[in-house]
Amino acid sequence: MMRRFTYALAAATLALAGCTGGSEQSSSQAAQLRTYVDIIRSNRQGPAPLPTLTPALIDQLTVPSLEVIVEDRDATAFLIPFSERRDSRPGLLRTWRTANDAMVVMRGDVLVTTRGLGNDLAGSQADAAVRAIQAQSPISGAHTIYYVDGDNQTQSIALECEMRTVGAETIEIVQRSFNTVHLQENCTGTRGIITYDYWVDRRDGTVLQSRQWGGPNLGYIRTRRLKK
Amino acid sequence: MPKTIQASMLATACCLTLGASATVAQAQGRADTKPKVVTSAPSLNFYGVPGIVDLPSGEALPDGQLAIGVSNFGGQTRTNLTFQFSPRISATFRYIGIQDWNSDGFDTYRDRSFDVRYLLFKEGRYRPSVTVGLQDFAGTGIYAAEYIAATKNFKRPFRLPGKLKVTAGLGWGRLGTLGDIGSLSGGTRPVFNPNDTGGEPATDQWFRGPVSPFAGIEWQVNDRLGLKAEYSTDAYQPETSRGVFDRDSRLNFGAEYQVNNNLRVGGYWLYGSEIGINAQLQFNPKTAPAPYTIAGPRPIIVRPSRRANPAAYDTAWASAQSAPMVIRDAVEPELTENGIRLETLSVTGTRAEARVSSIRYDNHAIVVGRTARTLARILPPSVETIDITLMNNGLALSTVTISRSDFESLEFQPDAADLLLSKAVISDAAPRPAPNAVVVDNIHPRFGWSIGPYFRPSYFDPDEPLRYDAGIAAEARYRFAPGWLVAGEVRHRVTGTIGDSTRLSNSVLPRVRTDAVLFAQGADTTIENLYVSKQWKPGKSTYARVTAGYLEQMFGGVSAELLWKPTGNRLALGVEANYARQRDFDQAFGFQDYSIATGHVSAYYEFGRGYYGQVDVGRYLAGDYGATFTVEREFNNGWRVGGFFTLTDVSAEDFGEGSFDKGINITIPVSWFIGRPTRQSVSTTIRPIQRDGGARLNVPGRLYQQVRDGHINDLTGDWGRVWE
Repeated sequence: MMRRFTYALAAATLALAGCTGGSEQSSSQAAQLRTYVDIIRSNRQGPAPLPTLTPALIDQLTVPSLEVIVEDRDATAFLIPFSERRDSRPGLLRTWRTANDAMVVMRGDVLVTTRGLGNDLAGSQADAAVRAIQAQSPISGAHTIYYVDGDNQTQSIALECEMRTVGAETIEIVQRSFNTVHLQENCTGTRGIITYDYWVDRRDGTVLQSRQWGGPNLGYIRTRRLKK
Repeated sequence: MPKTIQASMLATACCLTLGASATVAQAQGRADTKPKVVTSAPSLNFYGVPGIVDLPSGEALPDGQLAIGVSNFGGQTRTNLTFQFSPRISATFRYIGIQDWNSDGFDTYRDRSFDVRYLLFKEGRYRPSVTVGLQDFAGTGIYAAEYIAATKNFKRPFRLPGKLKVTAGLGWGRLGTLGDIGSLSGGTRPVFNPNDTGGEPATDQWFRGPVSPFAGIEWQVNDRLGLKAEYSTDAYQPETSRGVFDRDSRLNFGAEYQVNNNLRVGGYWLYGSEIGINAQLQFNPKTAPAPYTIAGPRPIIVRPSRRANPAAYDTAWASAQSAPMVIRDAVEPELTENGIRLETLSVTGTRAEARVSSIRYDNHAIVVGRTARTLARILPPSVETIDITLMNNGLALSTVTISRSDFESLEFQPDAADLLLSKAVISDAAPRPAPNAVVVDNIHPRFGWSIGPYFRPSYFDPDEPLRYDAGIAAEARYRFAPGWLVAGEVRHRVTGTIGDSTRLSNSVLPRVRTDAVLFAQGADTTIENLYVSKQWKPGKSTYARVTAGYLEQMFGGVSAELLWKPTGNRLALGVEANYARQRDFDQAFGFQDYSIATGHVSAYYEFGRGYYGQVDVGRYLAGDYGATFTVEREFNNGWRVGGFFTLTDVSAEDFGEGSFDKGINITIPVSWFIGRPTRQSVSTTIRPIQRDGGARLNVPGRLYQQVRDGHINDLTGDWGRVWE
């Protein structure tokens, strides 16, 4: 009697959650239920807590590090370089990644692409901004962004931008001060006014801190270079 | 008792370890802010179409929008599903129940109806939007009415906050039963007859009889609150004459609250006597609840230039006999990790072909992009041309040819996806890989299974609108060689109400579909299906399938299909021949006496922009001859919404209620809900009524959808994500 009850309970658990196996994904109702249960479970876990940033912690880092905040999601992550390359356009392309392969691609420290964030920025033409940062002076030009909409179609937003030098600013990143030039790119397009801010290290032209637009669905992204 | 707990924990653990774990990047942190209401979609009326309270308006929903409305007043419940098929055309399916009918043999009168609406003019600066609509247009339906309605929006009316919508229109039929101004087109309308078989378009009565002007306003006070008032010209004669409710006034009032972007609820005072409620749910297939998110791919490693390192471009490696195997063994694990199955790989000094199938992605462009990335990273530099052939269960769907140099140089170009598409060549795939191809071991046999709950709904029984069977289903698939499949599903019903129905078939045709109640009563433990199939490509653009066994709940038999579909062609042609025999009601291994040779010749056409048409001509299960017409809209993310009807040589009288077979199909990709890639999808077909005429055999694994998914049209629809 006890055993029958045990089996029945085991079967009921199986039945409620769905169980799948093998190397072939099924589209049965049970397998679909399983997919939902897995997603709910993984969503419930949430992100691992981030360490508190201290100068000592940053000294210990052995690789360059970039803090990225997606404003609309109030999400923060620390990224490390994945790869670097150059192509026909100005600026070094550097792909930054998190441990779970969310990626941010910078061209000369200007945001051009994101991957694995959801509502990603597919690509950008920001050559003028790249040159402005390299020159630490206000060079203006077009800034076009491309993103994929909910129907998998590539959409573009062409922005007309004017770069200006806000001035020399001293910024603090984790209790350390840096002398920077604050460049601000003011853009207008069909979506209204978009503003990009770059704080460029006076000594080597690295963007130490920025606030850049990732498209209408991703929104603004803030970065801080924790370690060069 | 501890033993019990242990066992249940074990069962859970089994699922934990065996369940497909989601290895997907997760943006850290989550938004907690309450979302702002940004929707501007028109609100719905009690019939589930854009309108005021009980009256329609002249506006259309946003393109592709799906709206579900459930309204109730005076004992009348309407459940409505509206789909904005194109920017101008929308269709509505409605199921209603009217309590206290107490005549014509019904206590509660239940009926189904269809509407279509066409937007004649979009709103301009001075011009209102104008819509012409046919309500309950098939047969002498209870809600039969036609209308032309015009709606104009005014921002900040009379310096008040918000937005004002003013609607005026002309109504015929039901909407012309009060305050008419005579008849514009002459003619009379037949009286509504609850026991008519209905179903056929009543072209002889459209826009006939008296016509009445109606009007209404909607004031959207702020983002969330809307107020409505209207002057109705519907006398509700069939209802009031049967005492369903008393109509004391022509004026209706309501207040609505937008809960979020999708849900709107309202309370109303109707016809001077009744309180009403209306819940309106709207969403768009183009806007997923969770954004499609997959872990970022590995960046491409760019080859050294030929000038910088000419030695790297030497092709001598290709003459080594082990070269293909070495490359395969490097490529295969990386693709597997990416949810892509490498089936064969062939390499020469300058060209490589990988035949791959998707394990995880419903988007074929992602399969192409990730395969190309892996090949570009691993192949020796001399290989310049990459062929990626998309496979689906033994069928080579199409070949995407990419120049490796283009792929390398475009990776971070601004418009990389469109640029790559302009350089890629998509062509018909050869049925078999090149003779020098190396096969990946352990591609066959493959096995998969699932155990869990099932739910089988049965709609629109006059006694109980939703009946169901539910229980546990165990299902397994075994692929022992390319294109071969053995699959089956066993079900055990735990609870259900389908078999409780007392309405047995009254059909005068062979009872090929109307014996559902007897099938439900047959047994608790049943074999849902059990079959073997083989599919292959006889030629470059032809596809074939043979299936035999217990094909579906009611029939078993043999099915053979041949499809011609060149990858870039809008037109596809197919032929299918089946011999089917009705299964025993207990759905074990036995058969009944009824058998039939059935088959169709099919033409499929891609109209572009996601619209598809299909015509199937042939012999149906009951031995009737005729044709099925299907139109469908498919969104690039995999959503499909369509409708079909079948006309055969069975007369409306012999067919019974509904006069001919018709229904709607909806397919929703699971990835749309969860924002992660999966090939799973939810499909359903809803028929107002299932009769025996125009019934087709349900054969698992029909070719066209499988093949089309991997052809140019669908592939370019997916292409935006090729670099993801």
